[in-house]
Amino acid sequence: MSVSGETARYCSSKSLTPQLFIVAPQRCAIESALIAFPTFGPESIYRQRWVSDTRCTDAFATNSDIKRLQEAFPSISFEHASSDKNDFIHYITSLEEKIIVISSTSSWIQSFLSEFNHSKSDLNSSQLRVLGINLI
Amino acid sequence: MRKMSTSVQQDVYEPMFFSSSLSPQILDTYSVVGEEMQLKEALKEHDKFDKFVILVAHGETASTIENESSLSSLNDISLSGKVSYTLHFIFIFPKKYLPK
Repeated sequence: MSVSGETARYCSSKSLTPQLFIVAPQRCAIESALIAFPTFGPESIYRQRWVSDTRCTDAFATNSDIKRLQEAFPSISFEHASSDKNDFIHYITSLEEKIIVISSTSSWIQSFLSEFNHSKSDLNSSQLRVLGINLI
Repeated sequence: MRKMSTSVQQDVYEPMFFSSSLSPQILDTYSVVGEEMQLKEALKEHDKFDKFVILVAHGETASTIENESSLSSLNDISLSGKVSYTLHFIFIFPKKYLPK
């Protein structure tokens, strides 16, 4: 778990305390976020807000799926589970929270980043910097 | 021993995508972050951003899982013992910091 600790220390050293966690309604996505940011879990002392949003997954979640996840992760809010999948980027930019963690499948994240190219928002290349850490 | 490589690109519009795999053994090597200097360099202006989005993506473990078409089957699979994720950082800068 040293990578989790390193991530937590790194964010702490940069004052990058995540204020909101948005996770795909998939167990693997939720667990990845919990592993990456163990000190900011929904049951941690920080009690950051964790929400599950179907807009950040390409998979189709049934009510049964959501219910099972709610039982497994009772501290995560699934209030956005039935939200419209459109305009997720505008949703992100409209949030009050400044530092946001989004956890999903790699394929969804790839498509999410691509959306910036086609977004009708006023974002442009000078406004956006993408930086990746590749752990290989 | 496998090591972490850090890639930094500025003003890149094309998404950077990495697939990665972390085994519990590799996790211990993450503390060797000499390459992180690039990351620190890029974050010098972090106080200027409007929004800072950290994307957590799965690595190979999840890629394997993604081949499952049914979300119900996904929910039966736990990542325990097979940690795998990639971090992406996105900065969205306010217009006032744009180069003129």
